[in-house]
Amino acid sequence: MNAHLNNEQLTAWLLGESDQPTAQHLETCAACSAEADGLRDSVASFRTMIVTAAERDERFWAQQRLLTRQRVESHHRAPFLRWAAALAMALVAVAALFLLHTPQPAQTAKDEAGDEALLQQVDRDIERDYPQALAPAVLIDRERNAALSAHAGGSDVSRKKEQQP
Amino acid sequence: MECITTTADTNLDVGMTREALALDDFDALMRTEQQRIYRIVLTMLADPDVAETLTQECFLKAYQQRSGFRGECSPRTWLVRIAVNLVRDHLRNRRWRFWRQISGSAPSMEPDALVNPQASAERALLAQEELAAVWSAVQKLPRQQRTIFALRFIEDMSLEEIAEATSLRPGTVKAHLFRAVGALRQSRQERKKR
Repeated sequence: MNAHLNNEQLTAWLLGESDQPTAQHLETCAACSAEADGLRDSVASFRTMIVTAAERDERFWAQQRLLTRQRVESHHRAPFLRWAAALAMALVAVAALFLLHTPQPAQTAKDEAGDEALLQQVDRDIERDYPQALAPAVLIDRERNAALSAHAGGSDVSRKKEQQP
Repeated sequence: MECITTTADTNLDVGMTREALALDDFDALMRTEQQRIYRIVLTMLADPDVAETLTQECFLKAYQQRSGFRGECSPRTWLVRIAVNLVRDHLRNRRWRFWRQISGSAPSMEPDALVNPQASAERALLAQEELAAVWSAVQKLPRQQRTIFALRFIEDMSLEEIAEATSLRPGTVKAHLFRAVGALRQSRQERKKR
């Protein structure tokens, strides 16, 4: 094998699965041998780095287990709560449907007569010269005008009498 | 010359069925796997707070979905699948994407802090540069490649286990791994040129 090792061959070597020609090439080719050693060291460094970075004391792992157990236990209780919530929602939905679809009471002849009277009353009110609420005021105004007219009429008569010789 | 040989740690019973996932056994499963799940989420998101929350979420989801676990794969692979899906959903979350956009990048850990403080200044600087470069190269990988890279080279999962956890075919997993290693290789070459 004269060509240098490719990625597949180097990966196979890293995995401990290299074939005989690859092994022979590594024994004779200084460049590939250095490349393979460098790659192996890089992978080993990376591994050490991650293992070191992920190291935690036993308290950390115990806390992790405790928190996980708590979540598992709350999951155990959760089905009851989920069923209760689902049941409550179903009841609300049924009640809403019931209220929406309850038939309105049929209108009776009495109601219809009342409606008719109300409409007539409205018509009358519209046709009035003044609103019904102002009727007392209009009455007072009429009385006042009548009184004023009467008073004015009386004055004219006495004035005429005074003017007669 | 030594190469990285990986054998998945399988101290969990592969035949563990859903009957075994009662609350007490679930606690034991959590004790065994919580660090791995946290590490995977941390690698994917580089955010310790989110990793903490999603690790809890992963176990809660596993408990809720335990009736769907038929023991076809190991509980570990099953948990990793849940974690991978949670990370995917988290990244799809619009709010998260919005905050990522305005902050310019995902929250990142500081690789500098991981270098041995007793190393000489020159060695420490080189180690820092090396770590920062690898970290940056891995963070630039597409999500699926990053997941597969992490599951293989950090968690020592076999290609078949990764395929089960990511719902991909082993051939596809291998192709993603080739590309991830290629990206890492390219990043190293670019750094050498500088």
